[in-house]
Amino acid sequence: MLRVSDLHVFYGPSHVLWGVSLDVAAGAVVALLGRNGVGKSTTLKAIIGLVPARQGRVELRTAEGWRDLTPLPPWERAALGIGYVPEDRRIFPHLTVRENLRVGLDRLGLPPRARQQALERAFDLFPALPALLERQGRVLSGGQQQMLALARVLVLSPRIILLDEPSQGLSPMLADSVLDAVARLGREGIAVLLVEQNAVAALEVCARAYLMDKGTVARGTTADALRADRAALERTLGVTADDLRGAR
Amino acid sequence: MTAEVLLLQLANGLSFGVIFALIASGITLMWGIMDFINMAHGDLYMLGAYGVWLALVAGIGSFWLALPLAVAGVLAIGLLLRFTVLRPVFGRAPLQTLLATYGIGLILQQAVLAIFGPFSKEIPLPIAGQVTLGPLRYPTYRLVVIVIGLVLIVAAWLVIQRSTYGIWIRAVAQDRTMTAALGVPVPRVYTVVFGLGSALAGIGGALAAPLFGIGPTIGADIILLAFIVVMIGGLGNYVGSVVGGVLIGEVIALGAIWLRPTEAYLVALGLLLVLLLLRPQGLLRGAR
Repeated sequence: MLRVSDLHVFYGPSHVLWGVSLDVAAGAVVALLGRNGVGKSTTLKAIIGLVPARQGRVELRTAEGWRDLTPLPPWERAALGIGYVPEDRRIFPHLTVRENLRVGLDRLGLPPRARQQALERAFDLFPALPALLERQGRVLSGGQQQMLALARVLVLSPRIILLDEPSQGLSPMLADSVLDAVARLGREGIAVLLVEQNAVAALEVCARAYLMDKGTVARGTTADALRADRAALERTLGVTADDLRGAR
Repeated sequence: MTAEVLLLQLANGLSFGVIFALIASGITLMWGIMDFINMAHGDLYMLGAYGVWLALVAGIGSFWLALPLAVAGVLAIGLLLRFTVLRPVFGRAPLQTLLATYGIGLILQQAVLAIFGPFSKEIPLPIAGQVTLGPLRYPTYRLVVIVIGLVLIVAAWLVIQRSTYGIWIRAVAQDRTMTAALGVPVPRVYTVVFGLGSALAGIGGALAAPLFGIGPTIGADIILLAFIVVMIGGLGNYVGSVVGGVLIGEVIALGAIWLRPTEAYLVALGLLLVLLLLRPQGLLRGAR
């Protein structure tokens, strides 16, 4: 349902994405793996439209068929069902949790009941949030911010969520629960494109994975095949056999 | 000096202050939210004053009918500027915005000068008479200006705190890219901010017209002081700009008890400079 083909992105004069191509099927959890600085986060930003593509396309399957998103600004891409959760969460520090949720939700103009249902779907996944509604964004802990960042796009009923390093900076226990939430999104039919530093944990929750190297996608395969291919894991991610055993 | 004089000047300071606040709040919203330094903002105030005068000259019988017409006119001119000449300026470096809007301000002033001439216009007080407030007899119209000004200030504050656009305005001020990524059409938020700011400046000018007279440079005279008020209040801080506006009105009014008007103005500027040195981040911080 999301198709990226031959995407080239520049930051000023430097060429950072060199023809990235990938597919995400409806409801699939897909991991985008690779070492630091290979262009994973930039790929997500280019999909939501925060960095411009010099060449290539981002397409989304809608009811009327494939739609080219490349000329659209970020807010129109979001309105078509793409949710974006950035690496640093980017909670609005001087808005309350409720207002943080309202930023996107108010755009939908839902009737009160549908609105309440949208909120409850998100609270269902993150039951700790309702107690925090009147807190300011800046006083939340890292884990609470991550929950809010996810809830903030979940209330929009997205068809796909671009999720950048959700476990970064969280304790191992919190990181696990965030990845559990990701797996649950997939089961509920929301596709996820997951960028994760912790490749072993990511491979646990996703069905497919793309390996990125130096601004391109080096390989796309199933998670099982990748887990079995120790040479590729070690070469592109620095993951050793011990890491994989530890995860079992 | 008697207590009556002090009270009188306090009330005068408030009437001047709310008009100041109506101008400064628009500047602070545009600057804090869009990084848009609008040097032409004072000229929208000037156009508001000319608007009521023009409507009255054209035969609109009542000031209270002329006022909304003038404000609608200023709003239309503000939005026209936003979608035409100012369109390519949004998102540019501050110096470019500053020079471009300064130029637009000059054009507006010269246009008014060319059309209506250099002589200042006067319109009669829409409400004559005085009211008795305790020991004080006070011009009714000035009291009405204070009440309308305060009501508008509170109403705009409620819009910013409660409404969808208010939340979007604050969200854009805090993190523009993330607001866009959540589906909010950021240019439309800019339009609302620009429209709100233009309307508030227009109302300020229209309300001030019977009190302070109307001339092509009344906006240019007030704009620098308004910018300092905005800095004092804290950039992008709505409440701060209101507090700063009222404060400067009071300083000028109280200064006038002992000093000549130009001297009072100098004292006000001096006080603002001292405040800026002491609290460069503004009186109220972080309450965007």
